[in-house]
Amino acid sequence: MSSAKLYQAPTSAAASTAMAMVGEDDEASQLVVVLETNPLVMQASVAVTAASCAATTTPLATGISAASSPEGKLPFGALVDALLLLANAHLLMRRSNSVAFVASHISESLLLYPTPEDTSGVKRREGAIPMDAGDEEPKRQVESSSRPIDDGMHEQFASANLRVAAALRELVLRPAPWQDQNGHEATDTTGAANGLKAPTKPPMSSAMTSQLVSSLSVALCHINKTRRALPPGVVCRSRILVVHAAEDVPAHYVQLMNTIFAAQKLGVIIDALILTPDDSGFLQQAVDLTKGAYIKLQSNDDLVQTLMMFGLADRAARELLILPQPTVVDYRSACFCHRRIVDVGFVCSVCLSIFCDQRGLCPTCGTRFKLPMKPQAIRKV
Amino acid sequence: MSQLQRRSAQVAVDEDDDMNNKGYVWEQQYERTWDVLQEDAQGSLRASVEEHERAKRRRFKTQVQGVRRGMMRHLTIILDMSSRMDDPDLKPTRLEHSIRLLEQFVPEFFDQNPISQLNFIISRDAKAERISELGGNPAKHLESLRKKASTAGEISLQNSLELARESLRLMPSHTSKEVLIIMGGLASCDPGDIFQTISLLELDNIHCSVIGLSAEVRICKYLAEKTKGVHNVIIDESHFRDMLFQHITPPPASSRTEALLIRMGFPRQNLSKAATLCACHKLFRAGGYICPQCKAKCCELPTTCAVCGLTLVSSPHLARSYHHLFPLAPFREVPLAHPPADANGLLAGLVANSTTLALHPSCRGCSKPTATMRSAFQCPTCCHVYCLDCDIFIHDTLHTCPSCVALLDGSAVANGGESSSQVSSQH
Ligand SMILES: [Zn+2]
Ligand SMILES: [Zn+2]
Ligand SMILES: [Zn+2]
Ligand SMILES: [Zn+2]
Ligand SMILES: [Zn+2]
Ligand SMILES: [Zn+2]
Repeated sequence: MSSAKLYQAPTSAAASTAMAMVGEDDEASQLVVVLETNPLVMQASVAVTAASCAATTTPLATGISAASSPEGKLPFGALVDALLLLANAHLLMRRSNSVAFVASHISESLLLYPTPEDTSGVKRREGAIPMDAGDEEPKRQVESSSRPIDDGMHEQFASANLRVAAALRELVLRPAPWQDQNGHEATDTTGAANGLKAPTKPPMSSAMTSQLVSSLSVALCHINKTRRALPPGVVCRSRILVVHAAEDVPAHYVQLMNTIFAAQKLGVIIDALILTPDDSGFLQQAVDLTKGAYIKLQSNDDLVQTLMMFGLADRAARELLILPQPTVVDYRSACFCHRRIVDVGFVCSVCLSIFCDQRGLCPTCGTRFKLPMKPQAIRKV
Repeated sequence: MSQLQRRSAQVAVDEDDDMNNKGYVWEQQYERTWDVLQEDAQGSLRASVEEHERAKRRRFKTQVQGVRRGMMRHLTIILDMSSRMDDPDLKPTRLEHSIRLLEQFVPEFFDQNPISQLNFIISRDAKAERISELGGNPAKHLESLRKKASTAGEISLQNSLELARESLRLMPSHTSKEVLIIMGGLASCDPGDIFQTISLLELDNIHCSVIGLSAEVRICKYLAEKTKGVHNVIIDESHFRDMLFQHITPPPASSRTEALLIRMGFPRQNLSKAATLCACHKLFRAGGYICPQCKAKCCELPTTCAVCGLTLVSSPHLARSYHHLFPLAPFREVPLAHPPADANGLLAGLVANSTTLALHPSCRGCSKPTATMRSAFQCPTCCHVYCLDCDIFIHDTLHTCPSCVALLDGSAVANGGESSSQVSSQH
């Protein structure tokens, strides 16, 4: 049960149970999994085939270690299975624990789980009209029961598993944003007349880049929202597990740093599971600045074991573990003019752009500089 | 004073600051805060009161956008330690309350202004004392502040200002030089002509701001006006906090601040596990960073190399300030649950709602359904909508619109190109 669901329960009876829960344990732990689902960018590291996606419909039923694609890539289905296993284990650790899944899809990022229906405590099936008065009784029945369903799985686990799997399947079938050009033209103009414009369509080029930064910010929005819903006195410790399967996008650097600093501010730990052959400079910095774990998989068979070992550890357990760290984090900067890594650079005092040589005009902010300053004049007086 | 009245008074004065003092709170029209109260689905008032308050805060927060800012700051905080600071109107005493707030302020200041420096001056018994040197270590400043916390006699404004000027005027001209005075007393004991000091401060381009804890003092207001600072008088504890924390945002760069290219070093991490001598503490330690110019080792960043004087930073330090320079445009509020009052407007409002729901089914940040929102907040760039919670979070903490990221051209080489396009559109 997600913590938001626990504490936002509308009925007074549910509210009193929530209060009792607070007394029991006033610390909730939240795990947000950020998953790359854009097949265009992750084909190098993860095998996305129709068969591997189909595996997600029956989570945990398929043999995880057995499923390995011929080229030695990790099948997408196996990855999702392992992540769901981790999510279930996390939920099992404490009653107030919660999970969330965010997908970096083509040109957008989506919160797969929990959906608003999950958090507001209303179960809604596809096509059904929610919140009918007659619907109240069976709903409460579902709500209060924690009986295991037929395959012996806890109801809440099953619901999370099925929802994530269904949302992923929906994503795979969904047309790319540029494919529905015709749809919104008419509504577009009416919306504008009344003050709300239709969303701007992302450029084609964005489809070929990972939306990791966007997903991270959505994850942080969700964490912020969950925390706001908690009653005072309850602390929510959150972790984000980023499954890195695509290349870094240098154009997103400023936004990435903003999200890392926001995570730092919220006390959110960012863990990285690297599936690409190369290291990710972005996630090395994110992990280092938020004191997370940087997990590089030795072989695909180790996936579940590694996730359980490091992904499951909460803040207290982490103090006892030696977490895998990025060996060296490169905090040197690239100059804005040539993208060359610089040891000693020149920084514009107005906009803090970095250049590799002296110049009279800052191309970033258009400031004209005075005569260049001698290095010793910077010395503290 | 009841909680609600108190809040409304505070809100009224917040507005006052925006409009540059229309008059006193009691001269203004009574604000009917209860008119906005509405029961929510569970019949509770709390949520809507909160939302009202936060909507006000949102407007207050997002007023200044897209100005050039002085990113390198030198700030001197002058804390009044006269006997007036013993007054218990702020709990437990004015002095204790101020120090507690400063203990939050200083780390936040360095968090937001990583390449800036700060120091403290205290004033009591008509004397001024500099208790810490300009530097970037928050713990050191707060420690010395705690050690010196006792009150006596009167504050001397002139002595403190002279002392502050002494250290600030030597700072390079491309930095922003600021003085922040927290003043509890209503009188100052000065040895000479304070107007002369003020004109000297003005000449040195040092901006002085005053937070008054008791009442408006003429000389403080004059000082702030002359030196282009801000002058505030607090109403209650939370207002004090707001007034103090507004100084965390870097001030707009004045035209007299010179622009320079500053040489900076980006040191590498020292990977050797063996303890080596550091140049800053003269101690044997493992880790640290190696100055790229003289190869001396320092322990932490940002710093000035103790050997060659090169400013040493790491790229995250610079990146921390980028959100001040490339601020996220404020989101436009679009009311949803409140159709306009007249008949035609009502119809238009309803039509808008149905199309809105089709275009924007939920908040892009947290997936809250648009149908349950009172107002949607639309990003002017990507036109996606957000709920109030996400809007505040995105502008206060995240500084990044989640869906605008997708609009960035991923094939562009790097942040340089992207930021320059942002800036050129602002100027
Ligand atoms: Zn260059
Ligand atoms: Zn510049
Ligand atoms: Zn040292
Ligand atoms: Zn050096
Ligand atoms: Zn939201
Ligand atoms: Zn946007």
